[in-house]
Amino acid sequence: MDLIYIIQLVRAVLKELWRHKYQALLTGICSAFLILGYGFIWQEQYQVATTLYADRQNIISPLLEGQAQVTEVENRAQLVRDLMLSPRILEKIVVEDGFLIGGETAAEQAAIVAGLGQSVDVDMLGENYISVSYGDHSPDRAFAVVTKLVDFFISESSASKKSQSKQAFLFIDRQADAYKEQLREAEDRLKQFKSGNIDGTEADVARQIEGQRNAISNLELEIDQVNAKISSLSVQVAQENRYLSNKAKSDLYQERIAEALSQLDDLRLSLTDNHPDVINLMQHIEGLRASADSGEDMRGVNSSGAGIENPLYDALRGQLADAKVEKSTMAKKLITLNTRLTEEYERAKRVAERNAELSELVRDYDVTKGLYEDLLNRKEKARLSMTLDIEGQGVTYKIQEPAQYPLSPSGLSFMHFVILGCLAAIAIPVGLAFAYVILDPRMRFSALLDDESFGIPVLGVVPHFVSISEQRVRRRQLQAAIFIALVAGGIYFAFVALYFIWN
Amino acid sequence: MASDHGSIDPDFSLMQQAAAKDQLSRQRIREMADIFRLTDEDLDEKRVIYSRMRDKRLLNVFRDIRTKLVEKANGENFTLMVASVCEDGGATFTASNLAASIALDQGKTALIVDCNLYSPASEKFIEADQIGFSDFLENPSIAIEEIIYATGVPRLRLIPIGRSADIGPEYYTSYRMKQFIQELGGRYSDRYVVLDVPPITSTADARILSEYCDYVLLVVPYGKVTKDQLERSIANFSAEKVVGMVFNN
Repeated sequence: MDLIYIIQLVRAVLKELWRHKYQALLTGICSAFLILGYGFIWQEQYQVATTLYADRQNIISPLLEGQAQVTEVENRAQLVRDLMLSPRILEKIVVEDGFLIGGETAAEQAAIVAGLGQSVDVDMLGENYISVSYGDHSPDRAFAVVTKLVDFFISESSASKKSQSKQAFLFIDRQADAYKEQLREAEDRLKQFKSGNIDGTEADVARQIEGQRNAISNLELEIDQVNAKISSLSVQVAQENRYLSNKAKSDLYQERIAEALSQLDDLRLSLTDNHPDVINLMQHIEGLRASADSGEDMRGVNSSGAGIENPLYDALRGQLADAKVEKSTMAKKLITLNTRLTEEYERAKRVAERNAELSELVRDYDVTKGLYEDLLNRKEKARLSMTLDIEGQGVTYKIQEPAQYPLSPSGLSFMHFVILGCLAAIAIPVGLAFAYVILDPRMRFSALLDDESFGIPVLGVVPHFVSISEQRVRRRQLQAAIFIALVAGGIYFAFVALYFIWN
Repeated sequence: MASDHGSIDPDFSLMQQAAAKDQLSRQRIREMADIFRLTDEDLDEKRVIYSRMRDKRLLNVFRDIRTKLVEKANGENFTLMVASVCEDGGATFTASNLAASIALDQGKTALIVDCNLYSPASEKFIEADQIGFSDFLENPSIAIEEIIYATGVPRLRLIPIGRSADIGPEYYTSYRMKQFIQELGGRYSDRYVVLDVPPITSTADARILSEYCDYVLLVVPYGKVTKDQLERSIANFSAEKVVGMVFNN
């Protein structure tokens, strides 16, 4: 059913075209020539496009990362557009690239500048790419406009970048100086504090106290020892006589005799008693014995007369005196040590009090020092960035896709209109016939006249009776139509040829 | 005849007279048929089908319609009214070709009655200004045989519209009209009458004439009628009379 309907639709369209063949021909020819005529006055467009890469990093943001917040620029595309299409550069281009033919009023010139600004497309492609495109009837002018706009924009933005980085450097430099001053002040305060504080640290004090305590305990032990020594010496002194007795002398003789006797025994082992040495020794012993005996006699004399000083007694008395002196010295030292321990305790108290003040000063100093060192670091980075920018190595905008000189027109060209005209010559009449068949409510399709629609059967679908004479007429009409179409086509292509000859 | 026209009371003497005239007319028609016959080229020019025509499709379409109608009438002859829904709908073309297709059958004759007072179409078979249907209705002295003409197609006869200009649809309800229809179909059982009537939407003629017919065949022309018009046209006739429609390209 659907296929039948489509076939009938196509037949109906063809039938309508045949029925209105001259109107259809006229419509087709008129459409073709209108389109061709438009193609004649149509100026071909040369489109030039370039793509810029934008590094969106602000120079101050990596430098001051974590230290300072940098404001983000909103609506970057608008910013770029405004900067790129500034009236200054547009006016320059309008004057240099022949947009003016001369004699325009100021208002007309302003309108031309505004028109140029509107016909340049500046679009953000994603985050970091900017596309700049412009179409013009002249390829030279299209190319010049785009390259000039982009060059100007890049130089402008690089200049602003340079000043930006220099300002960043100067800012950091000033900050670093300020911190340096603060640091010096903190250092001074600390120095002042330290010079006014001779007590030393808590550890010093603790060490001193510990030393004192040890010294005291050692001294006390030594005093105990000296006391013991004194008491024992005192006992010994009391026991010893001041003068020596005779008994000591006879004991001396007795010792000598015993010695001589032992020598005699040794000699007798090798010598006889007649040997002169033995005889001499025996005589010596006799002499000694005699002396010893006489000595016992003198004992009474000695004890009655002035006696000899006992050396041991003197020595003991000397030692005792020394010990007593030592003890008194130690006692004095102990007192001194105790006094100093008390002083150390006092000092410890003072140190603890001043410690809080010190830690505050130290903290202040440390913080200032940290910031200062960090800024010094950043200052060096800023100096580097500034140098890069000045030397043009750190520019924000780069040409990603350079503008190409347009060799062929983009968009519609004359040939498009030629083809379009040919197509329109067929499509417009066919389309109109189609629309007529579809929109006209009158019945054209026997396929729609089924038995159910009207309750009566369709007995037959009568085809058109084409008599021989009608066939002849039809053939003549067809020939005429073809002839007209061919003539029109000839004229059409003659115009096309003329166009190419003129251009 | 398939339909009964018994309500019309025939005058006996008239009947006798008519019978005698009919004999004469058959004789005359045969003679006339023998006198001239249209060539294939003439038929082609008059847009009438013939058995040797090249466009067999067209021929077969009419044969097919004829067969369907004959089947519907159970082999009996009938009076068929062919009416177009609108002007220039091809009623005359359909009527004459349907009649011609009936006449292709050796055992049947067909008679076209041109009832279109407004745009007569009889000229393609006979010369203009011959007496015909309107003269018969107006003038009781004219016998039916006098207005039946040979067409040059074997077994196909024609009654033209006639010369009288005064006649209007009111004549269709006259006694003479009843007599006319009865004589046409009732006389010969092999005669099929095809009435070519004015378009349905422009006059009431078709509706009135349908009263005398067995069947009504609607001609729906290509691209000239809306569905509404067709529905309204169908509603003009009693449902049992409308035998079907023909879509005319």
